[in-house]
Amino acid sequence: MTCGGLPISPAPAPMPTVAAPLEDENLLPEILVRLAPLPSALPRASLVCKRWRRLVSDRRFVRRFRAHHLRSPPPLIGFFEEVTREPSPDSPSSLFFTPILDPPNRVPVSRFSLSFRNGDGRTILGCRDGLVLLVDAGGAEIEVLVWDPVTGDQHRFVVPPVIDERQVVEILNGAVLRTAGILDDRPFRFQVVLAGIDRPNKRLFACVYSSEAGKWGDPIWVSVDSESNVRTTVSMRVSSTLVGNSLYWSLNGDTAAVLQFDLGTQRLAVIPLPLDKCSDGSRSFRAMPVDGGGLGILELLDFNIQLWKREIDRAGVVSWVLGKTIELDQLLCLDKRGMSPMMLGYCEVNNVVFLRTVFSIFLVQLESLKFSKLPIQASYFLVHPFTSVYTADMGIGGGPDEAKLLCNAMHKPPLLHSVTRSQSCCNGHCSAKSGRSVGITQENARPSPDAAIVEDMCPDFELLDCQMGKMVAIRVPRNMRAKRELLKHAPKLVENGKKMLILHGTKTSAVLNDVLADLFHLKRDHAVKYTKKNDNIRPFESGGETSLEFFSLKSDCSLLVYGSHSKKRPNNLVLGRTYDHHIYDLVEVGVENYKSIESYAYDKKLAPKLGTKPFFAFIGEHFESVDELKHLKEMLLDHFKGEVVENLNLAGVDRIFVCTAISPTTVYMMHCALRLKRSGTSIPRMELVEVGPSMDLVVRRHQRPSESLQKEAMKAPGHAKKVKNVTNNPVDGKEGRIYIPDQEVSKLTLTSDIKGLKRERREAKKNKEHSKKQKVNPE
Amino acid sequence: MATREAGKKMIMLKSPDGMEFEVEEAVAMESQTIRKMIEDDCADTAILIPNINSKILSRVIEYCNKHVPTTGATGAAASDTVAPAALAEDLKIWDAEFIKVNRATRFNLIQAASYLNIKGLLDLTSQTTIDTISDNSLEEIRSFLSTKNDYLPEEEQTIRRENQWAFQ
Repeated sequence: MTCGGLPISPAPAPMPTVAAPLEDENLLPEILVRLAPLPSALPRASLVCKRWRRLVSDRRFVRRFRAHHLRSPPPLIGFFEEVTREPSPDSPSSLFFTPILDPPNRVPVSRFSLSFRNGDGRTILGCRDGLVLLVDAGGAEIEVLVWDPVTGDQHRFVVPPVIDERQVVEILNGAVLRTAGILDDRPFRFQVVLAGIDRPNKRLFACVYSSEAGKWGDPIWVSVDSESNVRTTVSMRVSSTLVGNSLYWSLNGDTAAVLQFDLGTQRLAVIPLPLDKCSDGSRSFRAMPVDGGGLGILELLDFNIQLWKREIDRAGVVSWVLGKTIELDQLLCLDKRGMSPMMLGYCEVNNVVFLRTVFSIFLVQLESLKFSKLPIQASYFLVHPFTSVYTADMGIGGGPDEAKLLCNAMHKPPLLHSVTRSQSCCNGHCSAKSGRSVGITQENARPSPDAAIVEDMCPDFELLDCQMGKMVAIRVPRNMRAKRELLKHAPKLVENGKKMLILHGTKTSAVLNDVLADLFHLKRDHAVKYTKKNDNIRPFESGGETSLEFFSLKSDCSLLVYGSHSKKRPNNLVLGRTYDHHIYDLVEVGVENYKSIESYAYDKKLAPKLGTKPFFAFIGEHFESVDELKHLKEMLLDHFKGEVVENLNLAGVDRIFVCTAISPTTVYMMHCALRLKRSGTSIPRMELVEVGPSMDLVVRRHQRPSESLQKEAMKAPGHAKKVKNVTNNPVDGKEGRIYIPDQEVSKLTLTSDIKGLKRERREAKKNKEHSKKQKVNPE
Repeated sequence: MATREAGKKMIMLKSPDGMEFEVEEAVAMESQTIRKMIEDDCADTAILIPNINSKILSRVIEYCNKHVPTTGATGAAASDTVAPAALAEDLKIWDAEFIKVNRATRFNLIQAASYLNIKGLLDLTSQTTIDTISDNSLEEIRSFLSTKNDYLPEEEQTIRRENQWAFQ
């Protein structure tokens, strides 16, 4: 900041008009960010005018909006059921979301419902700060999934072997929370705490996973003295409560207690409760925060809710005080002869308890005692209230068509899988997470805040990305071996040698069969040969390359050789290359005068070894002048050169391809072994021994890549740009030099515009009059 | 023109229409913009606050005056007798009174709060504005802003269709 005055405001407005702040580009977001954090707030605001829509559909604004409201208690927008359900026998198991707000803030059910491809059911352990924690114990390992339903980001990892030995310990519950202070960061940061029991040793444990460290901490143990607690804690399925900096789970033995985990000190403790003894363990209670940040207990006894408060006096003596008692039969007008209500869930953020009676679900705010009623849709036993700031996904990508596509997708009921859109289509990739776990981290794909739901079509693929209607599938490795395999295929800084894919058309002649067999023989270590006939490959026709590209992707080959035989093009061989598993270029040649490897008789000692680097000789000026032959030369070089190496051992150089252009369209190609003979000097005399195959290649059609594609394919990792005029030196630090041209002050012409002077004079005059008046007035 | 009066440093604020206000440094520090200037030792002479007229500036200073003692030293003295919760309650009532102004003044206050970077005042004024808006229908908001509906009917339909549930 400069001294001597305030900076000039960007919009100096001496006499602001009435609607000024709502017109001001800088102030409008400041005001709109304070809109109520209800799901319909932003879409409704977007209808006011185009300027508002532009603003509220801006990603940065939406992020700001979420961050602004996540700090204050976010609204309770619905709840999740405890376990995944299968709506019909053959559909995948899905986690169902139930919205509780009234229209227009009623979020569609499918927006937050998540389905899983493999049939395993998952158990939801809790929701907090807009995150959902799910556990899948069905597989070989216990997989933990943390999911942000609003953005669609997912984080998967497995439980470490220390606590995942199921004979000994049992995971009973868990909790998830966003790491404080960084509410709206992407990727989201969180902590997961799993709590469980070690029955033989009569102890409970908790284990913390932190997304920042990306690994599990050591388990923390606490022993339980009461036998009954160990026996009956199985019913400990109700979700955790966060009070202050501690998580609390209800332990339901015949003496009631809560399990406390202090997130700060990482200590685990069992706190006994003053509640009456109850032998059947059917008691229903939760930890709850009370004003002043203390611990309270909420107990449901028949038709009453009792609120207890823990008080610790200066000597450290703990006492429990019974506070309010809420008579539900009076409040909710229930018939006392009927079934007593059941506690389904509790949301500590909004202090709302979910109660179920025979016909409906009641939501009771414990402070104000306001309640609302929901009709029962399914037989719930436990629900997990979900609080988050969600605003409808708007103007995704800006294109109306795309918005429609996403809209349609959103209204499709089950079979849905939550995916995330990303701004760029190539940056989604797999990465390994902690320990044994292999997870797909969608946040690596830098997804946008607006999540969408797209139909999950392919069982082996997880859809990660759709942009402009194009979908990029990324495979999720299920085990280490699969992961290694995928890594082999992944793009690298230094690529591995290109592999050749050899395919047959519908009809191939005997000659062509031999050609393909010989080519495969020459490249045996770097080639894949398919033996089946392929009737839908027509490389030069549009649409005819689809299956070719698919095979290339599947076999990870970027060189293609396709043989076909027809009346029009006998003994036809198509050589092709792919880039990013799409056809890059093609050359079609006819094979004539073919002589196979078998037809050559030579000293087998001379036979070239597998995988050696060949020499190439291109003889004939046509290779320089004719475009087709230039292209063929390129193609042959790429097909046979093998891996790129830095050094070469001369002993391994044992073959040469000799290509002679005998006419502008015909190349005679032969394959020779090198024979080194004594020459009397240190440089041996070389002789070529033909080892086959040899053939004439008559160029037919060829297809060059488009210029832009060529440019993209040729791109190599660049070197760091040279920085000019900046020097780094350890003593002075970073120094920069700038050039300032001569100012030539003497040559400056004075401006002829003297309005400024006039104004000054005018103001002086005004002031004079003003002071005169003031002098007159007192008199 | 920073003067020392009864141990308290005073800051002179000047509005563009020539009025001068002398305020305590602590009060002026409520504004992050002025705080920065004071910390940079740029406040030796009177600080000229451009584009905020004296009427609005006096209101802003009134707000700052009210909000300073509760956070400052006098608040600590008062809290022995009055619970902080009650103080906050008082302040809320005062705020509610304070913001009962006409629209033009409120909008000017928003501008001033944003320029002087006074978070509390900005929160208060913007929240009030948004509360008055959010109860209204679209047409009312548009007339309130005196803007016209610049959507074509088809465009409006598309937006409505995009998130149909939000317009039920």
